[in-house]
Amino acid sequence: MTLTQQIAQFLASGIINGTIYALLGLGLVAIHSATRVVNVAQGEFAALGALLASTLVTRGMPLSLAAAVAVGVAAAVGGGVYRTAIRPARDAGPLTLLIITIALHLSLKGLLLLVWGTDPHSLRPFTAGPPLRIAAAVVTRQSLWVIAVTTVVLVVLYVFFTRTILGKSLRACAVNPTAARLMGIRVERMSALAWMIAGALGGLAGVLIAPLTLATYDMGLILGLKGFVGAVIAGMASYPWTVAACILFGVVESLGAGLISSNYRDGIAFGVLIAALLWRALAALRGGLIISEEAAQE
Amino acid sequence: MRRLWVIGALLVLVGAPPSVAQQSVIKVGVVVDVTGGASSLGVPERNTVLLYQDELGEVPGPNGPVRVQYVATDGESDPTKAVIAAKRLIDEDRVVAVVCCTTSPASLAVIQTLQTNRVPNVSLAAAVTIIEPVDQRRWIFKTPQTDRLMIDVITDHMRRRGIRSVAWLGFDDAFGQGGLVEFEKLAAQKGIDIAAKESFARASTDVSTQVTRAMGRNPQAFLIWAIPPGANVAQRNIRDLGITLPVYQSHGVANKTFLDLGGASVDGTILPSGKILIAELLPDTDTQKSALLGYIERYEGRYGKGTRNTFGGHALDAMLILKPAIERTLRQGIRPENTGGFRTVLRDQIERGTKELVGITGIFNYTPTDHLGLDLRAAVMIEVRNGTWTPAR
Amino acid sequence: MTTTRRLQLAATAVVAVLAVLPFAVAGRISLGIFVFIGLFSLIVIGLSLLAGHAGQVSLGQAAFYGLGAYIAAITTLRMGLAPWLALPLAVGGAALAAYLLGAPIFVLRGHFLVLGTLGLNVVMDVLVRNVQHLTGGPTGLTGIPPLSIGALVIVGDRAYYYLTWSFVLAALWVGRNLVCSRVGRALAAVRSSEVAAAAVGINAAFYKSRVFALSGALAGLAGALYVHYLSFVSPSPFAFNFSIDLLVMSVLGGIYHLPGAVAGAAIVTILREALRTIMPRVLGSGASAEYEIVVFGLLLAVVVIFSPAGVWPHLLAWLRLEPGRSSRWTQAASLAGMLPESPPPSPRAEPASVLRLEGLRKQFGGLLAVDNLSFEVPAGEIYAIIGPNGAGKTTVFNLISGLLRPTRGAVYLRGRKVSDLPAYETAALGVGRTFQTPKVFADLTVLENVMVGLHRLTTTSFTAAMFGLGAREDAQAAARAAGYLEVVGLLDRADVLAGALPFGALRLLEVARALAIRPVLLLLDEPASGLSSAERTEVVKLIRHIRDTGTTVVLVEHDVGLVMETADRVLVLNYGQRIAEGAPRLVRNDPRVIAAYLGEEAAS
Repeated sequence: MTLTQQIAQFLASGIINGTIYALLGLGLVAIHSATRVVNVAQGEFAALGALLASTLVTRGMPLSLAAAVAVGVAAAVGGGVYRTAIRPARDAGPLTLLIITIALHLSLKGLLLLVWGTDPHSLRPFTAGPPLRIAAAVVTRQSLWVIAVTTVVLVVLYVFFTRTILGKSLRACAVNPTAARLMGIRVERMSALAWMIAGALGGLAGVLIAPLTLATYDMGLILGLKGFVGAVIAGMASYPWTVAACILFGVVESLGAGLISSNYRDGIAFGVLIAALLWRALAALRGGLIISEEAAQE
Repeated sequence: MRRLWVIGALLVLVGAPPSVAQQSVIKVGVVVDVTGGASSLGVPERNTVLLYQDELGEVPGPNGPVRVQYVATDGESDPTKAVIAAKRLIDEDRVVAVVCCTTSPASLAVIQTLQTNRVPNVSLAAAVTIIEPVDQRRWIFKTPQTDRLMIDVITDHMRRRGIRSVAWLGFDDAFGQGGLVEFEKLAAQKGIDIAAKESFARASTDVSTQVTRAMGRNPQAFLIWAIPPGANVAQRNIRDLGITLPVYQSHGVANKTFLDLGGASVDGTILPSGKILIAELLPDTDTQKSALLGYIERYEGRYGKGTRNTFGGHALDAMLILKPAIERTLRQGIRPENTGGFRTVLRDQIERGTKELVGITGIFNYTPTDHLGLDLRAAVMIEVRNGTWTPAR
Repeated sequence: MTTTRRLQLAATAVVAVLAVLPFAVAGRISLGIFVFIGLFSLIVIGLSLLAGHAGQVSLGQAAFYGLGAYIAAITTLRMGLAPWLALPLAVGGAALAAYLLGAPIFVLRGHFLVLGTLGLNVVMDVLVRNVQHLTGGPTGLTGIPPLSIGALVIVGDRAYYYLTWSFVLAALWVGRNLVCSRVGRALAAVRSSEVAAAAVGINAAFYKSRVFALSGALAGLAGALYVHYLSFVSPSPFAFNFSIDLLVMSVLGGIYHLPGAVAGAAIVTILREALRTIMPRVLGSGASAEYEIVVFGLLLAVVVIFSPAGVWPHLLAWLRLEPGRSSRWTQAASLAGMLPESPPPSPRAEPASVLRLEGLRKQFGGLLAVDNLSFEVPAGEIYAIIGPNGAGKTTVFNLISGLLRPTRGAVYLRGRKVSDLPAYETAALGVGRTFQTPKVFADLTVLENVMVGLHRLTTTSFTAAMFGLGAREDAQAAARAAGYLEVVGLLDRADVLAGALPFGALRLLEVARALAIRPVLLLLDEPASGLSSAERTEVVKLIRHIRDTGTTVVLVEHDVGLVMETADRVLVLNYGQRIAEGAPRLVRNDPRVIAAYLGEEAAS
């Protein structure tokens, strides 16, 4: 393999991984903008989707139906989690909410473990066939599915947020919950909706990657964390920027691992995160901005 | 104030002198990783213990049969937890020996505890450093083949097939590291060039970057040193990238999970293993054959066809080694109530009395300088063909 | 028996139980469990200080634990250093790493530390696995020597039990000292309102990064003890999962009470061991972690949702050991009248103007809040800013006090440009302020609130506070604070929690706190709003008194009557622009002012 081929291959796997991170990052942003919660358990939605889909397919359900059921269940779990764990504590500080999602991460992971055990489960690719060659890179058919489905999801989200009353209401809640409430929007319901969307996006990510990797009960954390990194780089607010940041993060991770050292792969990825944080901090110091505008209004 | 008294009373209760231990049973502690990263190894080990604890649970003593109880706990794939578990078995259950642990880091972590408490241990992990240097590992034995032994047979096989340049793709953990150290030594001896050394995490979901890097060095074959599911991810990535080079794997994939997850992508994989995977194909003259078939029938009868694996075999070997050693210790007139004395004599009995013992992994001969006890007879090369294990050509 | 007496008794009992425990449990319960509870307690005490007192969460304590462990292992094994020398190195190294990461991150408000520490945990794990010539890689290092001092070699469960628990008690002592000190009050202030803390000159990032370094040090200590105890180290005990475990321990025990950390470590460890013993017997499988994760997850969720302060307060309540409200300063406060009133800011040879604004402009997105505003306030004046709602009055205060950065223009305090300083520096230069909605430190007593105001005039350092060396200064500070409470008439409520005060008293408390920084310039944001007429009269008197003692006062007020009564000069703002300035009587009759207040028609 020549260096050009290698770089093409690194780019391709970076983009595909980044796309998966993006699905998780989008869910995190949906939850954060509606409820100001950083959801540590986001990856568990993916694990749930992946495990459920593989089991249903093994039991003989057609793949498309299994995928739909898995995404639906993940969405329902998202909504249920909001209703049972987040809403009762919605007025608590960000610290408490963060810890609650850590608790959710543990509980959901434990439940997945009880139901599916420690054995990994596999799911067949959506379409069979040998990998395709695109430019200098070799890409599996499933990878193309990942990218295609994510693109469709983005378009749907865009239309939802800009063209539908429900989507606009959700955005209104994110910008200013008090004002939204005064406008007659039911903020509680919107928050539940955001969690359901996050659940669905997570579940979808799980269904999409299960054929590429394998489904295990503990696959969620690292996926969620990487989506988180992308979402944070994008400021936890904008959907398109989150996707861009996640894909960029996937590419940096892949190129870093490929060209520098694969042993340090996660080290490079999270090193980038720390560097980004320190850079923001130093920029803030230089600007002398100690108390943010938001805080001054508190 | 009354509540303080309640607490006081509770403390007194906890602190009361232990009721005189009725040591009518001899306890053996088992710490295996039933959960966590090493559970694909630990679960069959646990299963085997459960399956054989009754049959191997009684030894003849001077005053009639004595019960041997196997107390199994979960090491959770975490060395700290394994150490706590071992300490509890030693202090609370007063076990005469432990079988610990599933992984090399955990087995290394408990050495200090076992050496200072003078408790014999049979480890189920691979690293050679668990039993060497032997003068600092008096109390430690192990049953699995070492990486060195396995890589010895792999490199021989590579040479026979004319492979002189190999890309290494191993876990970034103790298993991968242990394998690489031995592979570097043996490859140098046998004139095999290590074209690339790439590592990946146990929980990796994508190894294609590493595969791509390795392909940049044009190797003739891949050697993957991992366990499922990581081993499957790596192999799948190789095949997904359209690479048709031969793929060698470690003995870490010698279980059904690897075949089930791998499907077509693992066809043609070559790996070293104990004889258990191909027991039926062994000549009838093989000393281990009947023992292997007996174990397979029992294990698969309980856990399903094709579930046989080498790891459960390691656990059974530990039990097979301990049982006669306990018997001999009793015969020397050592009373189990004298836990310390029993442990000391038991250790000597394991070291001196284990001769040509036919196990699942191989045939054991422990000596004061060899706490592994296996030779090259313990490994064969295997190839995956049509979803089943077959002897490699 | 008084609660204090009972607490002392309980503490003595706990120490006694700890001392005899190894003998009591011998042969029944492995002492190893208690050694680990001690090790975990050390780390969790640090984490609780961080979460409960600095308001920050770390998901990377396992990394510092690991760092301490590896420093101890590498220096003793590879470099042949004596273990007792390696121990301080491990502690210092972990503390330094925490400080270097925390100091910049804390400049950012919000929970960025979670991210940074999480990243650190992963990076640390990757490094340890890969720098194999030093760390031994994933297999780890064996044969690490035990701790020894001279000929005394510390080996075995019992020795490490006593050693570890001595450190735990010491850590509790240090933590308690810190919490009860000047530094502890500053942290409580930051937790309650970072803005109000900055307004009395507290640099939140400074203290947070030190607390974080302390938590790193404690984790590093635990790590070093761990390796000498087991004489083995490998990467997996320090992975991210353990950071989560530690957080569970911390939250379960209760992050607001340091002994809760020990309770949390004990509960989680004992529960885990109990599950390990019980579950296999019930289910015959030998797998405990499967249930463990679910049990801990649910337990954590339930505790956080229904009892965010953890189990410790419930434990104290059950034992009837709840401490009464601390009245430790009362005695000092009784000296209030006897101390000479703190001298007013000396009439220094200073420029005539205390405050000068030059072409100040502040834009929020598309909204122009303050537009090209210039004015000057001479020393000793009471200067009022009035204007309709949304005129930009509070924004002007925020710009002067450094909470906001101007888009253009500058603010000068006694000729020195302050508009590029952070708020806590501006406060330290003598700009005191109150807030439109009073921001008192609700968890502190009234007296302690004012003592926080004295922060920049007291000196007990973080390290001195750790060892309880600030007691004398604290007593003096209490007496001085009491003096300010006397000025505003709140001395009789000195020991009440500030959160329990009625609204009017909150305003007065804010004034007392602002006076405590000995301001050159005092900014009062609507000092009379929401007050009864009697209280209002008091406030008018107070404002005059403040001016008479040499402090220049700028106030924002809606109550035009009050402004007319007190102000020497008045500035009228509308839509961020100055529309009039001058003596109250002149301004009142200015047609532009009337127009702004009542509309164009009334004016014409």
